[in-house]
Amino acid sequence: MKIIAHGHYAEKIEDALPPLKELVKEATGEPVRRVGRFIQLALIGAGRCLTANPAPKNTGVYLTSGRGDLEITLDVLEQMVEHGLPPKPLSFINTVSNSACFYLAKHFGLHGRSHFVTRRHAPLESALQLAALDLDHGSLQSALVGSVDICTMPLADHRTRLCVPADTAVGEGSHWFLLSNDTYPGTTLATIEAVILLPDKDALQQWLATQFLSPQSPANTVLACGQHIDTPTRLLLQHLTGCSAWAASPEPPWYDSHCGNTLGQFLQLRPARTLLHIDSDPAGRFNVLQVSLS
Amino acid sequence: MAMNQACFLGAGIATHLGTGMAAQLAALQRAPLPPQPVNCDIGTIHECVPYKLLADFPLADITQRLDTVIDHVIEQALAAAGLDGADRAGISLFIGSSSFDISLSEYSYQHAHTVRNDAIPMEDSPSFGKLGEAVRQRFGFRGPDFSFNTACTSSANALWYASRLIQAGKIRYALVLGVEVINHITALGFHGLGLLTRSVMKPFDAARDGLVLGEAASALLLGPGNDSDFRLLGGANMCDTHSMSAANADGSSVAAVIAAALAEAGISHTAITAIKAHGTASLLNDEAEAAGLLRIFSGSTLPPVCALKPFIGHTLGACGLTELILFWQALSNGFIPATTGIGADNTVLGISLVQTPAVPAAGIYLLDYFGFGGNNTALLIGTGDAR
Repeated sequence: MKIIAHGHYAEKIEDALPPLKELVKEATGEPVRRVGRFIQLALIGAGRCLTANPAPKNTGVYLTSGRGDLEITLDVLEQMVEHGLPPKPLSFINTVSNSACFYLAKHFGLHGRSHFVTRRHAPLESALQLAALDLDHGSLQSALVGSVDICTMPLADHRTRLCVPADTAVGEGSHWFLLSNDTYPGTTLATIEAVILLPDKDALQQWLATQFLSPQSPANTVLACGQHIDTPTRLLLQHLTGCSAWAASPEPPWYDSHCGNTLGQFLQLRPARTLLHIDSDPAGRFNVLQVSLS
Repeated sequence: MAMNQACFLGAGIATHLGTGMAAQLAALQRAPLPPQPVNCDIGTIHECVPYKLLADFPLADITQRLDTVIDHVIEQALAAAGLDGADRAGISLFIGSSSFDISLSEYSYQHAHTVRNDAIPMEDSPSFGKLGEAVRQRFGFRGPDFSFNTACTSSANALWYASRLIQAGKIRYALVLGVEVINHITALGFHGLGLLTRSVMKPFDAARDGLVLGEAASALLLGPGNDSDFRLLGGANMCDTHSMSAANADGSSVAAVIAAALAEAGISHTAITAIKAHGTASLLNDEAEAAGLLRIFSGSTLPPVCALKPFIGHTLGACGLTELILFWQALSNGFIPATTGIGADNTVLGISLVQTPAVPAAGIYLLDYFGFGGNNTALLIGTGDAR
């Protein structure tokens, strides 16, 4: 699976949520009315990804997120419980995450499949796995995969919902990748060599052993650990792979779409030939993403 | 290249008709019943909404009810498949739902609001993947998991990808779960859209006047089996940008997704011997679906068409899997469910529903699903030797 283009938005949020209207217009070429922050962020990231590389009509859209459109869901809940108001029709429809896919498909003229899919602790990886299946199968020639997470105010409440300490920097991001199958004739940025979930540490060790057969491999590869990896596991992974640790810089604020941020920065900064991104979950499973520059 | 088999190995189901397969099959041979009014009380809102609630899981303890029914249907599916402990650990989980555990977030916020002034909504770390994580932990599944939120096509899409990941050799067993339980956002949202009827749903009928919401939990285990086992033979999903809430009434987008499913399966429409329609009994969607089916079967005889929502209500994100299990089991037991007196007149939209339980012909069966956000999915099922 090849990466043809990528586009991003990422912001640390401190005092107020930055307005997005102008950025949406800039990214899509027109104002988009009556949409909330989640859909705006999706349009900005996807628009930036597709600016120089318009996607073919039958491109599939794969949207993922850790929390989805929190803004609209919180608003609907508050209106019901605190003000006794039932959901407004458009608000109700937009509580379905797939609504964002509709706006994306409509604005970028896409008629392929569209999915909102996620996995706790590895949203982007889950969407990439489905896109890889469709592209490998040959039923699609291109896929637009994006990971979007928004921030809501007040930040103290947002941190409570994220289960992070009160002093954690939080933010929002929208990270998009236009992908094609291996037959794509044009210039590509990179190849996604692997996007897999391994059930435990033993399986990870076995997989790593098959990836580092050449003595040059570690020198050409950087290891980026995901946001759910603890320090002992981070050290173990460095030991197992022999790769230099690498992280996006500046360190991104906390949001669920971190993996997209790391991949985006890797494609931009090109710190090594290959990126090995590994994240874990509380069950001890490992999500692995391996990407090599073209 | 030989593909791995993704056969339907065992199912579990709970709906308004009862719990377990026998209860469903018995009820599918009787006339569908009207919904019951259910009080939706939240904040100062007191609304009565027609619903088809789960028959055997009373609205007593909301905090436990969702997990209880999920565990019940998964246990049914695993037991029916006879999968042992070692294989269970390798299972991959695919969930399709439009509301996941929002009922719990609503409940905890509403409860907290009555005892604390500073209560905030969704304090409980909301995440679409949270339900899947909890299910995996309870059952010890360690394979990859995927949570689909594509409105009324959610569990159909979950099933489609589960089947294809097995066929591609990426996973060996998949447990697909479709779940939808009552929650205020859904109930009041549909009520506000004016899409609900208080009588029996009447898909494709001149008197159709809306849908009835339903609850369901269903589970299906996929994996290697025999040629005589049912399985997914093909499918397709396409995005229809005509409208956020309805397919194009000219049937073009419905026909396109069915044609794509037929192409994926490598079969002609003439191989289809029965159809499970989406049939939401709404004015526009039934018109679009009927027009789409007529486009596909233009110049040939339309096979028998049935609709299952009059029996169980519209179970939204769960309807993809729940209706597939009901249809598959009815076919396996020798009948196509009939809705006597509903959708009988084919002069209204050009198609009519099966009026007396029909004996299914051998072949391939089509299932349609359409959801908010322009998400359209068509699935084809049959036995391995049906092509």
